[in-house]
Amino acid sequence: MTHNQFDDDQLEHVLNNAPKLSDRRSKDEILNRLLADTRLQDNVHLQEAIQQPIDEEVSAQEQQQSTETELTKRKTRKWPILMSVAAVFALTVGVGSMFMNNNDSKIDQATAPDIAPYSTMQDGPAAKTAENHDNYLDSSIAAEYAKFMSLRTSVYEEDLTEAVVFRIGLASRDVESVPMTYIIPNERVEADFGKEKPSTLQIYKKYAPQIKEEEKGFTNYHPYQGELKEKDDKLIHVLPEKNDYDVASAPVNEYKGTLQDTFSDSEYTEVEFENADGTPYEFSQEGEPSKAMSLTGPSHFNYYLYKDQNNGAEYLSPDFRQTFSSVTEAITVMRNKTDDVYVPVVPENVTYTVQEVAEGVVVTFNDPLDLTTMEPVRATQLIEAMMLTAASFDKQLRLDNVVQESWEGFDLKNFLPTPVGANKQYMDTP
Amino acid sequence: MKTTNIIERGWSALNDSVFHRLYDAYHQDVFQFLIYLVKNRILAEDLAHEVYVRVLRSYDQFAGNSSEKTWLFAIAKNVAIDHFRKQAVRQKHSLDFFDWETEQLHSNTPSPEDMLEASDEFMQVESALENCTGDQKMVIIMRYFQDLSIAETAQILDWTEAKVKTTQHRAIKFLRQQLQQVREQEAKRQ
Repeated sequence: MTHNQFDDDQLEHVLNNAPKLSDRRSKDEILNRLLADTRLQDNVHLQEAIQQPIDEEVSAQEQQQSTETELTKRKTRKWPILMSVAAVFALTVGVGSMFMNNNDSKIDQATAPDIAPYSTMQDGPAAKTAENHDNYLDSSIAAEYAKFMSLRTSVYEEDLTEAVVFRIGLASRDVESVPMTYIIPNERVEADFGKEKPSTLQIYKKYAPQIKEEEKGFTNYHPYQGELKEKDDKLIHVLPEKNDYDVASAPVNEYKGTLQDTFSDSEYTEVEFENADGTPYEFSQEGEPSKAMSLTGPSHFNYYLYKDQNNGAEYLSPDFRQTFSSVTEAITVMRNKTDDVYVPVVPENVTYTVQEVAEGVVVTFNDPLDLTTMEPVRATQLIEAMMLTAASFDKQLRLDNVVQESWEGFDLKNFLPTPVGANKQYMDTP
Repeated sequence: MKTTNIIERGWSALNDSVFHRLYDAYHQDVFQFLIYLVKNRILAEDLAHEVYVRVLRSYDQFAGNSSEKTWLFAIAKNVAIDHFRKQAVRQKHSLDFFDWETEQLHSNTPSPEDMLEASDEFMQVESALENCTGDQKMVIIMRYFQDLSIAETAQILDWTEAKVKTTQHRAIKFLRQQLQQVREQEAKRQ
């Protein structure tokens, strides 16, 4: 021990006597700001809060000055349910000020950036007003910030202007593959591989071991046991005699599912399973030498919500890899709950018809669908799950009879973009 | 623990809204946690707002596996880390993963107004905290400034209690070294 005891005690004393820092705002102010946040439109807990009498409180300073102050004086006040335009504007500048505080400089609130492209309040007059004041900040930074705040979870072309996609099927605790789409900046790929474009297998070998699967709610599965290698346009997996995949039918299905989610959209046409001596591997459940598994076959899935029960993480995923012959059928049955693992993204009371047209597929809700009556996350999941389902048939989706004209940056008046992949992820730093 | 939470939540449904109950019980604690992390009052207010947004939107999914207090602090921690991540993204202009545990969670010098009551020694500790890794800074704030137990800190950070103890030990050691250096430099000057 090179330090003296006095310093130890003093350090502990100083740490234990940190000054108390309190919020000087009143509860009213805090609640007012929440009321102005469109993300909490129709939030049941906020509605409860505004129905409840408010304790009139004293500020923290007053509390310190006089402990005799009567705290229980109540005033019964109903909060306005509908937000005023001024309140919406307050939100706009509020979010803007959060952004600008990051920059260590507080700019005049009237100059707050418009982050409307990804917000749920694009049509509001305040957003349009703010649109006129967005020249103070670098637009690319504002866009990046807006994306960060977005509820979207899929990857779109616009995410890939300077990045590549790495797809991988992660193994869930329910012994199923869940497709994930990683975005890797070009500069990182260049740093790792140089100027030459790496193969999908090279990318897998480089980045799969870096994924902290358990932190995301998955089992520690990648990289695969044995050896993966390329042979022309085929992938060969040399499996060790004893492996964790060939132990029962569910793990075998999971294993093949992860392979499909990882390599099906690649330069490889099929994957062969081999023993170390080059002979075809025989899965114990199949009772005969395995045949190559196609990686190019159609994967016409519909998408459900998968929720990891341990950490609460949510992902959009096919329902036990069930495939469909038509997009109409795939989208139509998305309302049905078929098992306890995957949850339909469509609320029970929402019904719709599906029609295939030349440009894609059109879902028409039977009753006008007001997305603000849903939790914003759920509404976004509904839209994106339908988009992913349509995309698995290489089709674009349009949603008709939705009250809102736009949502989370999606233009609901037109056909929506085709997602590149589900469950956007960013690679951990090595 | 779970049963208690169910009872608490049932009680809350009858008596108090989620917002009012959490505000009354924990608002100042959460605010202090945030302002010590980011050292900017306006930013801490913004982050506190974000905490409530997340709480109100996800309360129905709160499984009761932890106490409301640790659940609330876990959300506050995530909101703060998101802020530091955004800051890192903006500075680096890259979307690389931000590992808050190993990187430093840099914040400003606290405003003089907020630190009127702080001793010189505390200001030195505050300054030294900036040089700690993110996990160390977080643990010091939780354990000492917020008086959270090792078990509560472990739950909030989703760590083992052993990891909390180890990180705390390393943080104290690091702070001690930093302060020692400051004192030696001051002694030389005198």
